[in-house]
Amino acid sequence: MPDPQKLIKQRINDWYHLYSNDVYSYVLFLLGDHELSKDILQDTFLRAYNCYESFHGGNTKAWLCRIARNLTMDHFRKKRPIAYFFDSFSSVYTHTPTPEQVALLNESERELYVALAKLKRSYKDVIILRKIKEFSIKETADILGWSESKVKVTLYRAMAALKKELEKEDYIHEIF
Amino acid sequence: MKYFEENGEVDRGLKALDQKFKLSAKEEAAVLTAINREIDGKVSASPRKTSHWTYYIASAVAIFLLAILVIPIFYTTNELTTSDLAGEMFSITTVPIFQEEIDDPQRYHAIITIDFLERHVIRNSIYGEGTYELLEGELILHFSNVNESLHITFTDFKKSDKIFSKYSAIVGELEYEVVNSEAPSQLMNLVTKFIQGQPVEFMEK
Repeated sequence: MPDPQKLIKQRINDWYHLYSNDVYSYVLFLLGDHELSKDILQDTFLRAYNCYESFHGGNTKAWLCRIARNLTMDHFRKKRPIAYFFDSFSSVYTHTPTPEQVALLNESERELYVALAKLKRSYKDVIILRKIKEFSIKETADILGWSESKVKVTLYRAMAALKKELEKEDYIHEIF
Repeated sequence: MKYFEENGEVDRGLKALDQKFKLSAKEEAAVLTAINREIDGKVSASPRKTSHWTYYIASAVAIFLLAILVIPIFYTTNELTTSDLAGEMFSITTVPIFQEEIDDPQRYHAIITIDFLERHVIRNSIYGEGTYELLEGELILHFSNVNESLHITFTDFKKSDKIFSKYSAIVGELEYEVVNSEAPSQLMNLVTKFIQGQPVEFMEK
């Protein structure tokens, strides 16, 4: 009879191959720190392994992103309690993806990235999940622990805020 | 220069961003190895490249600064002890109701005059000897005789902000007990002089 722990480990490995980049980039968008995002990526899959019984099927990527977000918030609460209280990721982290990653961005993308980083946490949360990660409203609501209507309203406001930031920065739009 | 006009263009830009941030194959493999190592229990703690020592130093500095701020407050609030009152005589007075009289010491009427002695003893010419205790901003006076017992608690006991008074306080609980209510009372008269919640001043005699 196969060892259930080995099966879970194998499942975690499979998930890692499928979703590691999604989880990594999600955390990177939240924190803007490459090394820290790698740490949280690692912790996310370890947490998934330890809490495997709590996974009841459904969207695996959404479940992993929820774990990743919780770990990110935990990290932030512990390490930057004051900034967390004042709801400002952007003021603390310097948004340092790797130089290689930055080099891959064209000017418009870079401005979009910077504008996104300047938004308040809830706006950033909802834009990343809905517009970048393309989760459904329900999945986004599950990950954030919000109601679906809150997701819709916040997304509307977040996009308006993003637009404002882009206009402030003289956003040059190019063909993406 | 063309400014953003349509949400659809930003949407496409955001989607494109997702493809730009990926781990290198080497990093991806390294993280997976670390995860599996941890799962296999070969290491007790996951390796961290992020150094946390800065956080420890920051925490230590924060605690130190907090201690500097808190210790004087601690000493201030605990500055008054029972021994501070020993050897002094005070008139416990009412505080005038009208604001224009608040700085006039003539408007402060004595309720009782008490001599604070050594060893927690108080003395009054009418009610005799009793005891007192000052603890954490509360002054408790206790008078008793064979038939009665009275505890008067003054809360928020602190140095007065008035130049003609040494301490100020608020009348707190009044606990009066009597064994035989038919017997003549000595302390009941004192009970009626204080009203709970009433501000009072301790003016030196």
